[in-house]
Amino acid sequence: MSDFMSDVPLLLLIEDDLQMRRFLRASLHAQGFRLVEAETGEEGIVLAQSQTPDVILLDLGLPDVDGIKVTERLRGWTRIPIIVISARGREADKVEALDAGADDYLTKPFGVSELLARIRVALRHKEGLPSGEQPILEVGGLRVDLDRHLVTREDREIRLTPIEYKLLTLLARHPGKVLTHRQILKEVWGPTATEQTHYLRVYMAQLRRKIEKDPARPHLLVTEPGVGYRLHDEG
Amino acid sequence: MPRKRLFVEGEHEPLGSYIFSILLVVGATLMGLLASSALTLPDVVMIYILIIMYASARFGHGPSIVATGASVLAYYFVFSPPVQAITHLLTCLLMLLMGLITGNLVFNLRREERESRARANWATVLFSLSRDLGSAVSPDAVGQVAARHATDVFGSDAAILVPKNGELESGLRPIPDSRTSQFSADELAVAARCLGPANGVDPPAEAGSAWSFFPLVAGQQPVGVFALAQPGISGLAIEKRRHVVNFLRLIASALERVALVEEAEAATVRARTEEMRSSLLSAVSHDLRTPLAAITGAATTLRERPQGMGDPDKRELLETICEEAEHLERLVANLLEITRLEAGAVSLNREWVPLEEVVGSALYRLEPRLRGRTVHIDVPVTMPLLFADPVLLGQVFYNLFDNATKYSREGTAIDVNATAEKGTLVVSVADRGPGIPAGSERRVFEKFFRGSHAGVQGAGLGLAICLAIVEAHGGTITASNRDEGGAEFRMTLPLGEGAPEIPPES
Repeated sequence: MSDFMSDVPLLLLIEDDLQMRRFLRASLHAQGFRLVEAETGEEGIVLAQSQTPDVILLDLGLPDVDGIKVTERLRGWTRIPIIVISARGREADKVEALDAGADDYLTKPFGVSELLARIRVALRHKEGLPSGEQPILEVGGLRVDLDRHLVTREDREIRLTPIEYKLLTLLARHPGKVLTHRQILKEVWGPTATEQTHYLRVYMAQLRRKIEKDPARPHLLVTEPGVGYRLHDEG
Repeated sequence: MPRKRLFVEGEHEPLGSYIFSILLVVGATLMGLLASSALTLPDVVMIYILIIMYASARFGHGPSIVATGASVLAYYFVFSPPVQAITHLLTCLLMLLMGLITGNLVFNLRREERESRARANWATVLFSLSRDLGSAVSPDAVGQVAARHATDVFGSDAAILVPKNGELESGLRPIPDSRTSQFSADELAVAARCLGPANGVDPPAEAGSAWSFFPLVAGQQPVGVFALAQPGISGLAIEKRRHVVNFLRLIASALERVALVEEAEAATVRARTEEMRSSLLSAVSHDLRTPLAAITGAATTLRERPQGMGDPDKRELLETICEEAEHLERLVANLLEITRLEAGAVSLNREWVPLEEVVGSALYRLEPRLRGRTVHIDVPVTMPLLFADPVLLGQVFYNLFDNATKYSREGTAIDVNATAEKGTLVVSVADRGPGIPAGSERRVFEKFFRGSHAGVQGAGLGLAICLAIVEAHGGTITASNRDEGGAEFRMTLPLGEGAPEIPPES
C-alpha cells in the first residue's frame, strides 16, 4: 500500500483563496494526485520540508509572505519544481517569479487542462534531474544527439551554427518550460550579456527558419511575450 | 529710439526760462531804443506782444506773466513820453491785459497740443498692448506681454503677480519667472493685501520696497497685481493715471479671459471624463452582466435541475459556462488595459525586435480561434529590427487578428503585409469579411464603438487599445476597405534609429 502511495505524485498547494483551493482539490483528486494544502507562505515552507512534495503550486498574493519571497526561500534548499499560479498577469511579474527560481507560471484564470499539462512537464523535469546527461533529446519531431552534435528532423540533418546549437539544446533540455531572456542569455552568451535581448531575438529568428515548418507561424520555438521562450513539446 | 512722450509734465518751469524771458524784453527794449527814429509807439507795443507770445509758447505760464510785467514796465519807463503819462498808463494797462490773455491762450493751445499728442501715443501703446495680449493664451503669456510693454512705457522693470494655482489663498506667483527672486516674502504679502476686499485704486505704500503694486481688477474680481520697479508711486497726475488705469484694465481683462478659457477647457475635460465614465459604466454593467447571467443560469440549471437532462444538453450548458467565463476574462483584461493606457501608467518597454516574432507570437496565442485559417504573411527577410515594446505591439496584432476571426467567415484567409521605407515600417492586416461600414473608418477606433454585426461579442475596446498603443509608439493606424472586399488595418511605425549590430559568430 505504501509503495502504491509513493507512486502517486504528491502536490503541495500554497493558496489562501478558499474557492481556488476547492476547485483545485476536486480537479486534482479526480486526476489521481495526492494533495496537501497550505493557506500561508510560512505554513507552505514547513510542509515543503516535512512532506517533500513532487511539485509545488504557489499563489503569489499570500497573506503573510509574498510568493516571490517564498520561492527564493524554497530555492535556498530544494529544487522541487514550483508552478506559480497568480492573478498577476503582467510580464514583469512573470519574469520576477521565473528569475527567482520558479519553473513555470500560470495566470489566473486558467483551465484545468492547462494546469495538468504544466504539472506533467514539472514532474518530467523532476524525474530527469539532474538533466543534461541524456545523450539524445527528442522533442516535437526534432531529434538532438548531444554526443554527436547532430540535429535531425524526420531523418534530415539540420546544420546549425554553434550559437544556434547551444540555444536549441538549452531549450530542448527543458521541454515545455519557459526560460526567461535573462536565463537564456546567461547560458548561451555568458553572464555579461544578460541585457542583450536583441542577440537572442535575432538568433531565435534564424533558428526558427531552420527548424520550424512555417517560420512565420512557429509552433516549436514559442515566444512568451515579454518573458522569454519555450520549446513546445506536446501535440 | 527715444521713448514716446506719454506723460504731460506738471508745469514747473526752470528759473532759466524766467531769466531768458526778462532778457528777451531787455533786448527788445534796447533794439527799440536804437531804432526809435524808425518805430512808432504802436510798433513797440507789437514787438512786446510778440515776445510775450513767444515766452508763453516756449516756456509756459509763469515766464509769460513775467515777460508781460517786464514789457509793461519797460514800455512805461523807457518809451512813454512823460507829458502824456495818463494816456500811456491806459496803454500800459491794455498791454498788460493783452499780454496776460495772449499768454494764457498760447499756453492753453500748447498744452492741449501736447496732451493730444500724449493721448495719441497712449492710444498706440494701448492698441499694441491689446493686440499682443490678444494672442496670449495663458496667464504666463499675458504676464510676459504685460511686463514687456510696461517696461517700455514706464522705463523700469515690471512684473505681473498672479494667484498660484488660480487661487488667491495659495499666494502670488510673479511672471516672468525670472523676476521671482526679486520679490521678498514681505513684498508678496503687501501685493496680496492690495487684492484684499477693502482697497482703492491707490497702491499701498511699503517703506523700503523697490516695487509699487497696483491691483488688477476685471469687473469686480481682483485677478492679479501689477508691480512696477519704481518705489512709492502713489500720486499720479490725473491724465497720467487715467491712461495707466486703462493700461492696467487691459491686462486685467486679458488675465480674466485666459482664466475663463482655462476654466472652460477644464470643464470640457471634466464633462468628457464624466461622459467616458458613464459610457464605461453602462458598457461594464451590460457586458459584465450578460456573460454572468449565462454562467449563473447554466450553473444553477446543472446544480438544481439536472433531472431529465441528457448528456448533450449538459455538455451544452458546460460549454456556455466556459465560453462566457473566457469572454468575461477577455473583457476584464481589455478594460484594465485601456484604463492603464489612458491613465498614462504604461511606459513603453522598447527593445530591438524582429517584426516576424511579434506577429508570430500573436498568431500562436490566437491559434485556438484561428481554427486552421490560412494566414498569408509577407514580411521581407531583410526587414530591419524594430524598436518597439514587443508585448504591447503583440497585443495590437492579437487584437487585429482577433477582429479578423470575429468579423470574417470561418476558413477565410487573413493577409499580413509589411514593408520598410525610409525608417518607417508599414504593416497591414486584412481580412475577407464584410468590411467596415462606410463612414465608420474613424469611429471604429473609439472606445465602446461596435459594428452592427449581429452575434459578434466584444465591448468595442480592441481597436481603441490598438490606437492607444500605436500612438504611444509614435505611429498611426487607419482602417479602410479593400477593393476586393474585406477590412484592412494599416499601421505605420517608426523603425527607430541606431539599430544594434549583431556580432557575427567567430
